Amino acid sequence: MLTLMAESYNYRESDTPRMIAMLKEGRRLAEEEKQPWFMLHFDQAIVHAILHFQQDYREVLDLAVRNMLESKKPQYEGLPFGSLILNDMLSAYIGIDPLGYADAIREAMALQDSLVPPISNERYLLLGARRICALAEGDFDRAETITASSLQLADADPDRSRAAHFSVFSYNCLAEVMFNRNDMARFEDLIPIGEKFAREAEHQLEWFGFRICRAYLARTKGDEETAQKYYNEGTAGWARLTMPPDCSYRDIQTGYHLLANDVESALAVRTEELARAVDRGRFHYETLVRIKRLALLQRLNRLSEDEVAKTRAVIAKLRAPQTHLAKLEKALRGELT
Amino acid sequence: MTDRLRFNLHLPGLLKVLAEHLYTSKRVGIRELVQNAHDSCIRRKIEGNDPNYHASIRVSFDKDARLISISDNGNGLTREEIANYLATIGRGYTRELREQLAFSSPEEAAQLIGQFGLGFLSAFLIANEVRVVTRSVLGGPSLLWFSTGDEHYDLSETQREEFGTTVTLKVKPAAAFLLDETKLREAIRQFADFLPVPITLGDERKPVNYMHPPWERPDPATAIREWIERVFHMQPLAIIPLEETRVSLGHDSITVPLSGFLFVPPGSVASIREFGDLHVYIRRMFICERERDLLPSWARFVRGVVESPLLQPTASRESLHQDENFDLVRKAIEMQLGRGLQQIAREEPSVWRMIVRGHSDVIVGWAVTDPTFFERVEDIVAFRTSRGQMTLPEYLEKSDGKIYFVAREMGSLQEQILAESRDVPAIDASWFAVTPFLEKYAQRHPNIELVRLDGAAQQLLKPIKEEPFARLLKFFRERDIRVQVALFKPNQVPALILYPEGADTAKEAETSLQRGDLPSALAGLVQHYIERKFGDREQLEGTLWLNAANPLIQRLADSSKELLEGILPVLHQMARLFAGRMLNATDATEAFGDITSSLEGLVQQ
Repeated sequence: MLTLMAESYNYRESDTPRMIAMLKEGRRLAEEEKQPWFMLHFDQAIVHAILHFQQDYREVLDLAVRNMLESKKPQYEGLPFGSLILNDMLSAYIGIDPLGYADAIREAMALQDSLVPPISNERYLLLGARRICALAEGDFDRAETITASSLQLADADPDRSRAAHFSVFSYNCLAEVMFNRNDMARFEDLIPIGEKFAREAEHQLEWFGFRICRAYLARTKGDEETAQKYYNEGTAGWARLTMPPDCSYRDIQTGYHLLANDVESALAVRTEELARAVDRGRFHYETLVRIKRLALLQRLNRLSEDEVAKTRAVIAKLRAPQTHLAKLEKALRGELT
Repeated sequence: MTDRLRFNLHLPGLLKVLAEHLYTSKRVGIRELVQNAHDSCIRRKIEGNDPNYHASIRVSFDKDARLISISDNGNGLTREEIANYLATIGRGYTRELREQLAFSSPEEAAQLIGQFGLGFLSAFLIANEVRVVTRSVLGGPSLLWFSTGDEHYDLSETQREEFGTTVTLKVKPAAAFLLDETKLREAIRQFADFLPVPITLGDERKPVNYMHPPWERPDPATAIREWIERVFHMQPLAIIPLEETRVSLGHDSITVPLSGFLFVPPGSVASIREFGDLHVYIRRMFICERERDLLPSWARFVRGVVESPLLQPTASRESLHQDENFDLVRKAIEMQLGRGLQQIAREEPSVWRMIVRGHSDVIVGWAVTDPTFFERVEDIVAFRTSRGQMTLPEYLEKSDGKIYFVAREMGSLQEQILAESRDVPAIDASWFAVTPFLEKYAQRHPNIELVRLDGAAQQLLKPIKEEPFARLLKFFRERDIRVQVALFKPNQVPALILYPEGADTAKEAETSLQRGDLPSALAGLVQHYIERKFGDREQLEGTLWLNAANPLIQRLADSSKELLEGILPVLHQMARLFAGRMLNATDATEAFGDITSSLEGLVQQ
């Protein structure tokens, strides 16, 4: 069972269905062996894989809630991964509709804060969850502050491999923040550090993501040959993985094409992004991708009523749609860059 | 000015590294010494020019004295050869002889195995004292060489009648397991089964080793089958022999020398008992087992044995260099595997069916991630259904172009019965890969419709007008029970309760909230979950479906109020129990209580 658990992790980026299959097989084995803690351990790992690697939120909330309810039963008292289960439920809500459930998410995060040890996986995950919420609210300053806490935690962490693992995501976030602020000097500084951690932690997706960052940077400097080399490396690398790239990289990838005024290629990126986001239960994310895509269609004078209606239909699934509706209107007026 | 200086060697340290850390297993010591004995015999054959020479190797052991001896009647060593080869690390006579023979006599060269001049050091992996007694066919006295593994060795003259060499090891306590006859026999068989020189153990006369690869025996098909049973302890479903193959390089092509075979074991269990591995031999000497990179990733239902002189072992000869030659051999194997499977599918459909059935989980799992493989197996892979295993074409013959499946593992009996009653079996899609496989199949065949029955079995019910059954419906609705009437099969079932998908978790969540089991900070999120999933809480209780085709329901439609009050609660509770879900112990007790009191009332009437 432990081998299955450990080996499955190797497939997280390159073959997520296989990873989940191995975890399900482990779960089956645990059931055969009548090991309820192990069963729940596998159930938790499956939810974690669906949330973070497969990124399909259609049914994951059912599973996350089921794990949560199971973990509260008396036979699981003292369960060492209880707060990971709570974190999964938080991540599910954050992935589905972070603004709509903001109050309940905040309250649960406060509880989590009081429960998790100061240096632990769960602490990193909690900081990660806070960071995503800040980004969803467009609060880049708060996202940067939270990331700084995460990097401080990594500095103090005696487990260097874990520190490297989580630092990759911190640098990914910083890249997103600097990109949005158009702070190219800091953007340039942090790319090699992010790459170093990505290489150390063997995170292929992020490694290729940083190639896209390099491509963008090279294009801003007018070094077209280098820009294209990095861009090809990044996109070819992603093509080999089943895990979808983070939305921040997609913004940078789109930005890369817009630097050359190549709106068609930017649109192609958004279309591909949408294909991997559509009907996945990620209403907040899907809405944003659709709106960004509409903005590009608007620039090309190719807006269609059907596309707008589909976007409105997804917005209707959000609990607090005001921000998204305002963004949509902005995109339709051609004011969203 | 630049000084050109020489490296210094710290011999004891180097000996320790090579002897103790080069190899991962102590059993390798036996392999290296047996191989040296083999090469010595081959050398005598090549150089001795004696038509009556019969090579032999004997391995013996003395458990009490902790001794293992490997004795051959080969060429033996002269004093000079001992100094140049036995006592010189990294220089091997065999390699030099093979290089000499490479052009003049490549067949003889190919029989020699030694390569690195390191193998003898492995004696110190299992022994703290090594004694070599040797007499060379080239003349000179018999010699005794003795070492305890430090930088010195002793050499003296001794007596030995027969030409050849005997290596005697004083076994270390950590390698004492080799003093067990079974373990020693296993080690010889594992490493030297295909060596052409007979190897006997102790006083036995029958060689321990097979001496020829089974594919070189007069009846290779039978020999391979026997060998698989002896070594792998299984009876294969099919065997694909491997042979020399031309592999395209794009601009050119190359012949890859290859021998051995692939076979399909009787069955596999995804992730737990998968295969996709090969035993690798080079010049008939076993190198490694469980080599996975030589087979394509989808071939997890295949095993085999491969021999190719193109493959290059690492210095420890326990694994392979993954170089260009490795890729060529991999390509050659993949080509032959693809061709072999296609041939089996075409010419031996019953065998192919057994393969696909025996490995369905592994095959389905890989097919969903490999489009080419998917096309190859989509119509022959078999699925578990409520009527036994069936391929999709077999299933579709019975189902009018629709595929009904149940993905939930528990409590799917109702759905299965509903599907069966329409004379259609339901596919058990609880194994993770089945649903994506079916979806992919439906995408490739647009005329096929997928019907998932979990939480949506009402698709199998035919709604009808409520009016004739208004009294029955009123009875339930007055008691806050969601009820509908429909026609469905089988007619014998008077009523069913169907729950929406996710109802079990939501119900449990609601119970936990009511009991206050969750901290208040989490209660908000769980509350949101229930609201998101079931805005209408009553849905959680399920919907009771009365079967208008059932004779009892038809009769009850016109029955007296007293009779309805006696029977309808029984039908309701029977349906709850039959659903097998959403009931805790209290609910079940209550259901039986209701049934009992209703039946008592009827008995009294």
